[in-house]
Amino acid sequence: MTRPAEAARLRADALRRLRLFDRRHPQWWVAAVAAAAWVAVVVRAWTEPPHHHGGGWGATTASLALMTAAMMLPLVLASSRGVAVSSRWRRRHRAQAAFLAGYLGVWVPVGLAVGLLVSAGASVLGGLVVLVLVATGSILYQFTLRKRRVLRWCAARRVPGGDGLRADLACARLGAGVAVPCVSTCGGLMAVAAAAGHGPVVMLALTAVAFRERTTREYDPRPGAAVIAGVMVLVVLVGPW
Amino acid sequence: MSTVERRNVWELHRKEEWHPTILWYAKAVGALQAVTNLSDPRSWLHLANIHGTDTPRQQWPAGFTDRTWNACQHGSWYFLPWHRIYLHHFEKIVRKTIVDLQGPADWALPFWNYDPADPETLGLPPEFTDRTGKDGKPNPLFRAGRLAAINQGGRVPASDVELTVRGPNGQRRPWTRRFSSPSTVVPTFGGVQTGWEHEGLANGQLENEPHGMVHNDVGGVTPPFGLMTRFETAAQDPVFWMHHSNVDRLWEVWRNAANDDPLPTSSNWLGARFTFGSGTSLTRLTVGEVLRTTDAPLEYRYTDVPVPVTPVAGPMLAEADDAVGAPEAAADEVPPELVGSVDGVALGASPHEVTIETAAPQAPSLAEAEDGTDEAPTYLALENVTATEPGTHRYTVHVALPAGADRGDHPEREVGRFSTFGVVEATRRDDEHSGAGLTYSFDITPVVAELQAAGEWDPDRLTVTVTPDSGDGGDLQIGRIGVYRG
Repeated sequence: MTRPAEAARLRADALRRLRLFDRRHPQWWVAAVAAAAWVAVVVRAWTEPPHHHGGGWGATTASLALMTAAMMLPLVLASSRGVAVSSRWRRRHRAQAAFLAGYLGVWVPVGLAVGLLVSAGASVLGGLVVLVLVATGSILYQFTLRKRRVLRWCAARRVPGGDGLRADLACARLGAGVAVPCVSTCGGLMAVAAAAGHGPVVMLALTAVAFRERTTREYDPRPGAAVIAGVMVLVVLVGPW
Repeated sequence: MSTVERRNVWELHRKEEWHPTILWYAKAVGALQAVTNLSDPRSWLHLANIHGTDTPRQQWPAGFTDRTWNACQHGSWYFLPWHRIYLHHFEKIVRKTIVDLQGPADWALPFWNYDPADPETLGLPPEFTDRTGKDGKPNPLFRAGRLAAINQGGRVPASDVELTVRGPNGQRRPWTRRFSSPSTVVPTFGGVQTGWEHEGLANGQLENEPHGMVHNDVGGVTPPFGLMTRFETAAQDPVFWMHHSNVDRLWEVWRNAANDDPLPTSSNWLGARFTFGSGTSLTRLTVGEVLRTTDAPLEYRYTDVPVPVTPVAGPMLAEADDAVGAPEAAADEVPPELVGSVDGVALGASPHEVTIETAAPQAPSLAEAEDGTDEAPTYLALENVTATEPGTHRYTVHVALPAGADRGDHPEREVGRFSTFGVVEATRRDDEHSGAGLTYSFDITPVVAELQAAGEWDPDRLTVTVTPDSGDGGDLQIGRIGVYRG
């Protein structure tokens, strides 16, 4: 085989492998967005002083959207893939985009509200008190039946209907439908992250808790409670109180 | 303990009315029913509640975990191994009770082999339908909470208990060799790959029929539901245990029919551990520990069913599945491609026909890319099926029925049936369920091939007819009917 022919064969083979990867893992770009969000979170923590919330509403919203994407997108990779593989081939990425729009459309306002409440609480009670209150509440919530129940609801697998715009709306509804119980299961963790200053280490630990709760065969509240308690102690010890 | 033998309950009955094995079962059931403390792992109701209970979590005895009750695994690749461990736990407690009552130490749970070739076995033995026992007292094996006809000597329909699903030309379609898949769309023998799954996502073939069919046939599908119809009450009926003993036996039959033993090798499956009971009545086993029934700790075998040691070729498994490959590779398998669908189908008492516009597959195919051919299978999936009152035992699914044709004239267009058992549970949104419903999938490749060969295949549309086999049709809804290419 001539060198150009060999090169063409290699290119075709590489392209085929890429397309098969895309078929097996259509959620690859969601993972990439989550990874990029994490990189941005780390870079921001490196370059900005702690508890820096300057820049007005737009910047605050963008910052919270970034943190929400970093913490929450890894939790819905499986759901996103489910939406993709149960959609028409040509719609697999668009369906995921609509799904994530619905999902983040619920989460970002909630994240913003949580951030504002925590900030307001901190200005009245002090950041340390708010952190202890939020973390304690979140730990107690870990052991409630409500927490286990809504975790079941997060796992609901529904297929989107329709085609075209109707399918987009169906996917967005599915995303919002997953986000509502997700807010209930992970809202406490998000509040702890906000009260603890959104440091990347804290966010990573809390995301790991949420990810574990979604993926283990049986829900066990204790590891999550221990991590939240550890985060609280760590931040209390090293925080700028 | 040496290996005990689980025997056919009808053979026992024919050998001797109130055969000692059945009589001791009745005595033990009576003794366990007399244990009223629900914290006692030997209590009959405690044992049944492990499978499912209506008792709210807040009212469970102190010290119970979230998984003490409401623990049954359905619509999942854990369905068969979980029930195997459950039966083993139950059998240990019953045997211990029998020994305490001065009975035989080698007692083993019988199985109810509802065999269409032996019509009498399609009903329950009289020892389970007589209101009084051998001693003239109330019979512990009798339950009023069954379909009245069953307690009056009625039989489950032979078509519900065929060992394999029916296929073109009315012949029985072989079981698939594929035990499990990560996709709810791909039909499997053992169920879809899941985590802890009390509600169910997609039944395996054995879970669908005869398992689900017999549950409905014994319990009925209209209010007031019999015990066997609902997860929360099924194990209160002594018949439940013999039925599941037979389902467990059929798993061994399937394994014997395989050329090799195509069980998953994933640690997620083999390493999954399930716990039953407590104290001296504790059973805690992994899936990997219960795959060989004659070895400790199980130590039982079924009459006339070889233990699958040296696999033998059998006619029961689908030839087409030989190319499936190692089950553990399934986690990375290529998901089937949706090529057509119809949303929101509400079923009633009469046949419901929908036409699905289909397109040619567009996704890159492994087979197409490597050898220029595309022999991808075609699947029909009824997704997000929900109901609060199914109203019928089962539905039959046909494809490409000619306009106005009687479906009875076209058995070759029948692609399968599904039992409504478990749909109500999967529809609820509560502590244990997300409410997304169940998915039923069928491999329609052989029917498509026959249609193509006959020049009757329309690549642009496919009509699907879903027909209730009995009852009033209830309120069953199908979220979407999808056609997939694998």
